[in-house]
Amino acid sequence: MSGAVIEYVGVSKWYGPVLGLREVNLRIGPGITGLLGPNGAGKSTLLKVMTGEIAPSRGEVRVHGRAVPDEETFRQVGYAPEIEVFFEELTGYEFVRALAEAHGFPAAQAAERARAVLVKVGLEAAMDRRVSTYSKGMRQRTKLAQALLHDPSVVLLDEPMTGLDPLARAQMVQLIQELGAQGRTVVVSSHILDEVEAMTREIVVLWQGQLLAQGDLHAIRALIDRHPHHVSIACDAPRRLASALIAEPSVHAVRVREPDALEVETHAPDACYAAIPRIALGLGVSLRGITSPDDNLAAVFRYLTAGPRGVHVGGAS
Amino acid sequence: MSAVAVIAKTSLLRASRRPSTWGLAAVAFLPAVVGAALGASGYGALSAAAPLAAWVAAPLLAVSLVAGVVGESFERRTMVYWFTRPIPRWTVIVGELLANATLCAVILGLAGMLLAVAYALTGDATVSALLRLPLAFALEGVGLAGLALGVGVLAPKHPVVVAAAILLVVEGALPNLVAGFKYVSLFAHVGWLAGVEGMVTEAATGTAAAPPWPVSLAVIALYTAAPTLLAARVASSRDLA
Repeated sequence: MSGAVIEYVGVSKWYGPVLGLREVNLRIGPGITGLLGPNGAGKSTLLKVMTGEIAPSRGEVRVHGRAVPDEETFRQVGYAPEIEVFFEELTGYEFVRALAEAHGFPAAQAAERARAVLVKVGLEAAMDRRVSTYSKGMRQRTKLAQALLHDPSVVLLDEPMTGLDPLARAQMVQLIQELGAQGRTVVVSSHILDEVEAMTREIVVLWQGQLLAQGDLHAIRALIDRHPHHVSIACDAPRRLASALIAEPSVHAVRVREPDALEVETHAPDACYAAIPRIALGLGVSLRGITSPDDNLAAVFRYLTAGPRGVHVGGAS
Repeated sequence: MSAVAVIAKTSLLRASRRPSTWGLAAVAFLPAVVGAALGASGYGALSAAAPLAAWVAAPLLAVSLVAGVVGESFERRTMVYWFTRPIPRWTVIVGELLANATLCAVILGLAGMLLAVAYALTGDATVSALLRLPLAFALEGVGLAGLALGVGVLAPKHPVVVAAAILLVVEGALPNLVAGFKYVSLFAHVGWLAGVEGMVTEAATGTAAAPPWPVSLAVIALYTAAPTLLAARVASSRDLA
């Protein structure tokens, strides 16, 4: 990738005997990059190493060519950590203004910037309330506000969707997309594939501290879709439903696991999901629930780890 | 405004809005009430109240107010909001010291002043005693704030327990076991500066003479600066999480 803004060069991090990151070499350019991985994959560690919150055990991180931690880097980087706590005794406005003043802005300018950025993230009505009274969604917005107050060219957002309701989630996605469209380098971590998909196609996949894949999300999705999915169905007549489902082309195998549940294996999850209610309706079988244990990233990543490590797809490198 | 001033101002604002600050301040003022009651009963306002203020109320205030809060800010990682600004980490520690030393000095200075008033109303206090008591207590607040801040940064998981243990050893056990340790004891120097004989345990030292007041000031300054410098050094290089 030419014109990389963020570079990880052979970065490893151990927490005592526990491996946080293993030999990560990564280049991230302008635009939005989704940082994907299940809990414990090393996403937060990757971001913390970049902000100097923690020092790498080995290797180096550079932002705009400067090795971090470097005080000057923080003029270019805005960081919203995954923690949910703030200076709880302050109002949202006081909190952001104090950080703006610490950033070096004169008092009047800091006040102006604090108000503007809180309005931008949709907290104008609540900015004069104590942070301790904020909901999870408001806290996420406050974190975003303090990350953006100095108009940074690099924005790091650690799990920014956590705790947001659907409307707030949509607004957050829009805000992040705006940041990307402005030419900033935005790195957003998440363990939910669909969340990231709504924001960007460029993703980095981490698994157990290793860089597993980097590139176009749709290409990685296609790779994921080729692995067999498992669908669990809770219903009142599993044997009858199993007999009918096995004739479906999208269904690879069926197992009746309990008196009121069966499990379907499929290589075409979309077609399978469409077929199940149709067939159940035709048979008069009552469905109580359809769940997929594969819908969590851990299952997907276990599949990906079976292949070659460090997959690069969709033209990114 | 400099980063240190911004951090100090913010820290003071936060402390002023914590109910625990006011509760602990009230506890720090209790010895004055005890002093007034004892003085009125003819036992002397300072005999028990001054040691109670200097040895119990003041450490309780500083350890709970400073060590607990600073330790929590590292444990809960709220320090990250300061540490990801374009300022050196030591400025955050110095800003916190400035705020907490001011807070402890003001509260304990007022407590000392109330005690001096109780002394004046019930005994034969001199003008010198009226001035020295609040000043010595305020200086004790500064020293304890430095120690508590250092412990909060260096032992953020159990800052209150560690600070209490250090005070018990350095201020309680050692000066009573080894005579020379009295001269590095914050409590002893506060007692000498305050001019309250009862605050200096002479049983252990026999003839422990009060050093010149600049020595006491220097020891208090060292008490404040050494933990703060160590904390600043550690905070600058240590992982936050």
